[in-house]
Amino acid sequence: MSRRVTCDILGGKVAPVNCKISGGGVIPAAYPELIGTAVPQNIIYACRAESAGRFFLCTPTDAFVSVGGGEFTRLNSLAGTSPFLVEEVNGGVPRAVLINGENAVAHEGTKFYGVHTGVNLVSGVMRCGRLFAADGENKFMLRWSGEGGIGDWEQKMSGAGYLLLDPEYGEILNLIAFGEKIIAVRRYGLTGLNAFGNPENFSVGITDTRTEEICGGTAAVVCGKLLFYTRSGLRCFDGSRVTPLGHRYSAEVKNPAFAIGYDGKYYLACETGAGRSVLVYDCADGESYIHDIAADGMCAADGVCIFNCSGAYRLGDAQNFSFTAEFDFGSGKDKTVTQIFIGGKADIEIKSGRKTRAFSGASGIIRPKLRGKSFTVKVTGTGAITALNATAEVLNGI
Amino acid sequence: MEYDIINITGTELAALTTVQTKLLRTAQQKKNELYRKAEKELKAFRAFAYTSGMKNSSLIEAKKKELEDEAEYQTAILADNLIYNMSLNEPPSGGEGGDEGGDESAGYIVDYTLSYNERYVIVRDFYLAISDPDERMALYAADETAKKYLASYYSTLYNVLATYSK
Repeated sequence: MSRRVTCDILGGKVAPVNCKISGGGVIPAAYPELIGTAVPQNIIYACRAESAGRFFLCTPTDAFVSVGGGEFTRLNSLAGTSPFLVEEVNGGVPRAVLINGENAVAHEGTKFYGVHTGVNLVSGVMRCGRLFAADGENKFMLRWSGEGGIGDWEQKMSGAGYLLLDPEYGEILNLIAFGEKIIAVRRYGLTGLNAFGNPENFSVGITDTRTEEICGGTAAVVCGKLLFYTRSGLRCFDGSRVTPLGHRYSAEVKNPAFAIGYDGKYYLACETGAGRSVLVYDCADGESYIHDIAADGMCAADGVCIFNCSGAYRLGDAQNFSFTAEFDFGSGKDKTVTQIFIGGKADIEIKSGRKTRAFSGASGIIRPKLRGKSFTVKVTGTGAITALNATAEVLNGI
Repeated sequence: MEYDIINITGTELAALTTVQTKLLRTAQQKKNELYRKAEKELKAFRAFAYTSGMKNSSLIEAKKKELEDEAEYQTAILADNLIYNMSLNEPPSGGEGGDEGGDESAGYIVDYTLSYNERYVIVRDFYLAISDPDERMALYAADETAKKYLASYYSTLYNVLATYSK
């Protein structure tokens, strides 16, 4: 005796690429559009500075600049492995400063010049006119400049200084401005520094923030929270404690490299089953998807820009998307998929074992008549899909 | 009391007049008090740094230097004033200053031919020129010359100087 069983394909294991599973349907996501090809090789850092109105890319030896973000020219030599950008006002003029170790390049929009800080710095932020940065030689040392900014390192009470963090949480990986604090993202946890007024009023916040090993460069502030990746997955710090964030791609993400936050989403350069990818985690609904594009550098500038050895890309209007979904109607027994309903239009390929059925421009009901224990559907489209469910004819129940 | 506010040998110390010794003691006490306060302030700051998680920062050393620099600056002023005031109270090189002649060690003109009003004004102006009120009162109290020179006006001037010290 046979009966029909229906399952929501989007409710199972789905791997969306350039689209998001939301509300029982599929929403096309912004697509990486190529905006230029004049980019250097071996990009290790990308950023956008509003003070200079410029995009910057760094390689291990040089800094490059672009106005539009598509075509870059060499700016200046800037050797090192951990460049970072800060923006400050120097002599009444706003400027962007790319810092890498002891060397820096300052850009004021109309002119640029080299700067020697005299202090080896990696990863820093500006706060109240001071530069707070991790020392490049002592990984437990957090430095702050004097009130004169990045060139003021004379140590005195109201001037520059340093703090040696307790080694319990490991070395400093990055510094992030988070709310009213400066967060030192460390190998095994977070340390918060309250840095108001003069240094004699600074204090270290004590919070329960010990974690598994954190992947350097993956911390980003999104929707008022600090998201970062550990060896065990995505984590969220809300100012007082760390909580795990599970998401659709949790099991697939490998080698998290670096991240940015933009418009309520967390963008992480990583590897997945699709190869080098950019994972997007939407804080609004906890959904995640990937862009199947390699990212050597990313920055946010009226949209997300991604840079790799092929060129510069900007996430623009939604275009092609695809996703794969696996389903078995909750049972390992043989069944026949007699019908797939798609609310929208897309190319559908359904596979079971060595058998495949392909439907181009499918809309509404399609009838694959495919038998197997489990099935994989690959959907490729351009427009939103409101529903995707499958019906199977089963014998003697499931 | 050990004296280190200025360099002075044991021989020089023994040769000081009463007024000079009083000046030296007062200045040394003030110097000691400056450093005691600095040490107390540093201790309080260190405790604050510990509670705020900043014990391994450069702040404690920076604060120590700041307090030491200030104490040294204030001590230099004390020493400078001390040397000047002591020079005004150098003992005479020879002979004795008596009731009839001038007493150079007093630091002001001692002329018994002047009227008591004139003597009062001279001594008053001399002591009002000393900026530190405590030092002024201490010196005046130890000034044996002034007691003889002003006679009954001495206590009057004492009360006047005391009001300036409040």
